[in-house]
Amino acid sequence: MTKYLAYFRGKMQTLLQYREAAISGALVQIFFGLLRIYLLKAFYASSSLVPPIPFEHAVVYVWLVEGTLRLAPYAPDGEIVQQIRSGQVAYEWIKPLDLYHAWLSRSLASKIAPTLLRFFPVILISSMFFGFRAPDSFLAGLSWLISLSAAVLLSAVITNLLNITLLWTISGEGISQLLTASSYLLSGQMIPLAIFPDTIRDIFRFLPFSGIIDLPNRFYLGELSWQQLPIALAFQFAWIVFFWIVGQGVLRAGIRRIVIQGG
Amino acid sequence: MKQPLIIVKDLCKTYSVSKREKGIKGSLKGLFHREKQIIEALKGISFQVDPGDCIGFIGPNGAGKSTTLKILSGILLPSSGQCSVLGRIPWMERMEHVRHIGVVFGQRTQLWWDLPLQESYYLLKSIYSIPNEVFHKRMRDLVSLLQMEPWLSVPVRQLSLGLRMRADIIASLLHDPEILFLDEPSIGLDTETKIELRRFLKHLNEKNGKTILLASHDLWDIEALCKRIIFINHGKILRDCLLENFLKQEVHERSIKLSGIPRADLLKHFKPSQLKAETDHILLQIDTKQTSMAQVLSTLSSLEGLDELSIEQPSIEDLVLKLYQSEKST
Repeated sequence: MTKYLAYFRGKMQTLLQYREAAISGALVQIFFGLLRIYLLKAFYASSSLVPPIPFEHAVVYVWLVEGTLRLAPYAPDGEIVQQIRSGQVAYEWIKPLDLYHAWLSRSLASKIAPTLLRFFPVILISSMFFGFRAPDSFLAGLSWLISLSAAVLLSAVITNLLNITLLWTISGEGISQLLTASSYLLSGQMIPLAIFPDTIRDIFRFLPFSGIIDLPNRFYLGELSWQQLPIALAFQFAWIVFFWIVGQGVLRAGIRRIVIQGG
Repeated sequence: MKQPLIIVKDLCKTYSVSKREKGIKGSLKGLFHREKQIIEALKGISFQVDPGDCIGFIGPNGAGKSTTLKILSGILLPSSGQCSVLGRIPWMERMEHVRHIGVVFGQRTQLWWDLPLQESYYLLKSIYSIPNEVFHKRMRDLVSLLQMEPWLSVPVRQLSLGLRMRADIIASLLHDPEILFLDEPSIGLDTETKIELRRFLKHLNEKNGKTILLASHDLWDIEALCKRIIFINHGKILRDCLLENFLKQEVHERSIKLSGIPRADLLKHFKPSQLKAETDHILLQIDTKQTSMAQVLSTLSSLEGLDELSIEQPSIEDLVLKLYQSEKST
């Protein structure tokens, strides 16, 4: 366990170095958040139907999305791409390590570190000027935090599967573009899932990506109450276990292939 | 009777590479149909290594040296054949196997690129679960032997190649492996660093009793370190012998550098093909299988006018070059 923790710490340390990237990232996210809010405003103003969520909720939702933007699985670990390109990955194989969990520790760090760096500035500025607000109750906040933690793990197992596919694709660009586009839409980052037509919304909410952004956000907004937390966690963990098992299987196949084809 | 540390028997390794034709037309064709080409990297090699050995693998690029080391370290799976390292089959008992070996690939690094050097060492400490005191003592010793103290808190990406190599070698030794595999460790290093590295590896081998398997193109490395050499080409072992025997066996041709004696006098005793005129001296080639060195020297000393005489020691590089060439012609 300590060895995987060491991987996690190392990766966190690497990522927390990039202060300027964090500042500029936070600014970009404020900009995009505002843009999105104005789009939603136009959307709300032009529609005569009763909106599925009140506008104030949509605003908070947008800021939560912006604050946790880097949580979504969208790209493989740059260092792993590098390692596979250069063949350095062989060095990982000569360590008494389980490669899946070593990479998972890095994926976890690569989700947590950039999110930590961006979340606080985005939330601070948006709550001062742009309509972000604290959750209604302590329990809503706590449920959000718990569900968000499961979301981090879910995103990490998906990212790790993406890392593993690098053993075939080398660059992983194709898959990561596909993944970015789909997770952007399906997780609720583009527009809150609640706004989609009912059938589409339900399908999206069944897919794993909703467990990363949409689900924790609904706890924050109080759309889901804390009593529903166990069901939500069961949903998230079902997908976590699914990707955890699939990822390890795929890695085994990939390693066999590498071992056969030569470093 | 010492138990061999490494036993390799009839090891074979074939790769298949898909062949692609050149040009756009070829690339388009490749989209539908690719021809597979089988490459035999190893065609049945066998050898044994005793504890404390220091073995040098010599051979041209693509000969199979790295493939052999990769199979021994458990990275590659052989196509057929057997191999055991410390009584374990590397690819079957990977986790336990890798605890006892250290590996350095000259062209790669296992260090964490963006973090200070010592972070990589602490990571290794956790990976190998090395106890605190043991780790600190070992790191201190290695770091001071290779004079890396000033660099411990510098990010790895800022280290020069020589420093990085030294850092990588420390990294491969922190868990105190019994066997060290080195693949081109001195590639791209300057002479001073190379010499320092050799001294360090010699120390490891002789004082600490580490078994070292070294693949290198730098024959001076091999000459300075290894008592035994294994010469590989086209996936087969051509020679497996002690270095001194190799030098003796291959060297039945010597050349003597002479000056002072007129060529005409020399021709009375030697064939014209044996004499090569250089600008200010004559090179006399002799085959020690036909005439002994003593005979030649006594002949030469009987001749008048001898000014200078020196026997040229053939370098290991000349010998290996000759081996390569004789390989090509057969």
